[in-house]
Amino acid sequence: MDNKKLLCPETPLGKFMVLFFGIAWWIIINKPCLHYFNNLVERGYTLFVLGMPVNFAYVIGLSALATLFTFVTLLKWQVGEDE
Amino acid sequence: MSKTALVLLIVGGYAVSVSIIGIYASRKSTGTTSDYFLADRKIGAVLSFFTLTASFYSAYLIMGAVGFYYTHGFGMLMAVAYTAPAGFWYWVFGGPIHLLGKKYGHSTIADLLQHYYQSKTLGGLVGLLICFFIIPYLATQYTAIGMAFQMATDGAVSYQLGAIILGSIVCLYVFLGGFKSVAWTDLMQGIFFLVVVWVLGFYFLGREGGMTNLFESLISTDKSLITLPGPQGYYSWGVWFSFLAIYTALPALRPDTIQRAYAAKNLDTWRKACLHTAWALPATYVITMIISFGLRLHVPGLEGTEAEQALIAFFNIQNPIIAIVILAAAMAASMSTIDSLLLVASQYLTQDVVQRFMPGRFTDKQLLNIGKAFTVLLTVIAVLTTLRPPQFMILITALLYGIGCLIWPVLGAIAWPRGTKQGAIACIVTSCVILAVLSISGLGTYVGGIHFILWGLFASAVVYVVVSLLTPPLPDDQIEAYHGFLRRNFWNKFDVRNRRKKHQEQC
Repeated sequence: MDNKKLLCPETPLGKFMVLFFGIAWWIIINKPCLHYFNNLVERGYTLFVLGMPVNFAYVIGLSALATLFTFVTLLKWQVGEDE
Repeated sequence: MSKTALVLLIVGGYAVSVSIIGIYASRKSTGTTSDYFLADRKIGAVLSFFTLTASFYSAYLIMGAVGFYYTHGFGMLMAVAYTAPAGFWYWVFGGPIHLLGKKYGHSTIADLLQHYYQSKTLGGLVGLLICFFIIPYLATQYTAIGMAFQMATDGAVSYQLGAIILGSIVCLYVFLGGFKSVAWTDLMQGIFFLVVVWVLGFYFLGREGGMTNLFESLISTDKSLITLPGPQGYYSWGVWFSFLAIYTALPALRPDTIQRAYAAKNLDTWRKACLHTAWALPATYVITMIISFGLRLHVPGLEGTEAEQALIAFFNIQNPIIAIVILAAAMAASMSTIDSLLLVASQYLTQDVVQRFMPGRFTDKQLLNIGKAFTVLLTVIAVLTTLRPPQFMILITALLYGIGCLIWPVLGAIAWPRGTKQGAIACIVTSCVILAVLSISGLGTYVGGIHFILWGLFASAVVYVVVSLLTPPLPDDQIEAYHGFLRRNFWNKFDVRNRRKKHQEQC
């Protein structure tokens, strides 16, 4: 066994999920991306999406996406009887 | 009937019902430590989900979070952001920990780390570290529950007496039934406070005439509520990032969360619990946002602790009975956290301190009695602490997530075979030293704009990797026993159909 390698799901979808929750999530929910929407609203451009200002919709929308990805990940995990 | 009498009636009824649950659970008990601390690892999906959710939420959901949304607006939405991936992290950490626990008989993180790294020093260090952080945190929860009781009775019952009454009720059912009692009362408490919060959310949404009207009214009162850093400038980008980082993955390693992963009947049970927390936790914080913004419109101008009590203040005018129900929900949320912490603290003291440092000296029956004695002793200590809470209490409470440094050695045990015992010990010591130095240095909670706990976490990660790479790896058979087993039974179980298809194509 290559003992320097981090264990994780080996299919492309598995790697995508690990990359999403481990790296991408931190970028899109944080300053670089959220800052853009926050600035939009701060400057008076109060665009409403789903009944709320765009920065709220952005955070809640991304959270819904994370929940959806969690569902996909967990439902695709095969669980049988524990060894 | 006076308000105080009504509150006492509700609390009395509650005490009777949880005592019945405790007695019922104790009659089903097999009289072993495994049954008392982990319900013999037979907790089903529904109980797992509710006990996981109820222990996650304390009175903070109904009071603290409402106060934060009310005061700081948009910034508190980070609670939705950090709870959304929680189900994923609960699964990624809890799944392997559950499997390894069943295979090797671990009951705590200290068991896991001691066995994997083959180091009694590490096991003892982790056990003591968790006890050191969790016991003061438990004491602060008793203070919070006493305050809620005092508020419910309009000061007729002091918070100290409230802590004694409610603390005794919790102690009684935990003492009697251990984890089974905790899980069943969590189910009852969880359903109760979640229903109250969701109903209130829809009430305020209906009252304001929908989401758009709610936000338009909010913007007309104070526009700074809908952006960072908020009206008081609290939520800087450093604060936003710090809270997200601390609260996103680290709750997966809270001792009470790990206890639930061990107690789950099987991996599928744990998966279902994680699956439902993935939507329930963030959705409930969205509901809290709606409630708080509705309150901001109807009872404006509250600050500090008054803002945390905005919901009670509003319904005290509208309908005092509902105010009492809300306080009862806050108490239920708080008690569901306290019972979990009480049991887990008792477990760590019994299994990670007494059993580890005096191996073979006590029978399982004696250890069970020691665990029950710790449940009572911890309640007494926590209640006595609430009488005169020391100044350092708040600091230690903030440090609860200092145990987050365990994330690296745990990651080593479940996913990075190159981690070593020396790396794990150095990582924990580094984190503790940095937290201690930053705590007493007077630099404040945010050092360089980042929460001081994160500095400990970053430094401990670097130390873990560097020291591990500089020291000899664990024996191959040990790596195979853990990582080989997890590769076959956990990591390679994802997306099996696609793996098979790919394999067939290659063939």
